[in-house]
Amino acid sequence: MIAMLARLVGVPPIVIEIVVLAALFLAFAGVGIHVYDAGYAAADSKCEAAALQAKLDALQKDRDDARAAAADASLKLAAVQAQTDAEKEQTDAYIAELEKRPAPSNCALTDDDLRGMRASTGKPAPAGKGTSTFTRWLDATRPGPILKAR
Amino acid sequence: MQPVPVPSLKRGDDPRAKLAQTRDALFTANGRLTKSREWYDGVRQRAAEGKGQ
Repeated sequence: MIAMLARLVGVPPIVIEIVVLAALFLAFAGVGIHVYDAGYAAADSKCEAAALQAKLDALQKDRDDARAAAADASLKLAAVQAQTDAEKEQTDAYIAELEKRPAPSNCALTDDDLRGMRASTGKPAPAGKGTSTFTRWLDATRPGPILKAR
Repeated sequence: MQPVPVPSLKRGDDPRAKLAQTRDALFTANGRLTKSREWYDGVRQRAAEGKGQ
């Protein structure tokens, strides 16, 4: 058939064979490229979907962690508040008891005491003078302010 | 992690009462620090669990 076609066209049969083979090659190559592209696109879509799913999972975990952290914070705050309330109740009772048996007047805080305390916080010292057992004890036990100014 | 107010002092205050109030404030501050640390450890642990998966 190729020989007849070659004679009809007036070219050597090898030329017809080359043309036919080239056409077949191009056809196969076209189909191959198309199949490759389709496969690549499918794999790419799958990869993109997996990446999006991973991102979504991470966001959901962050949200769950934030909720868990908020719930945990509420629990811990309630625990601290309960302890604080219990301590304060005892302290209030103690202070009420102290009011029934007041300290000697020379034990009360004086201006000197306040001056010493406030020196540690950087606030201005109150005017006035005074001495108490507490002040004398402070003077005897430390050379400077109770706390160094920060 | 809120700061704990420092008990106020004024002339004539009973040092024993102020000592008790200051102890309360210190107790509260330590409680907040401890619970805050526990909370933060929990946050870190949850974050670490997520990264391990």
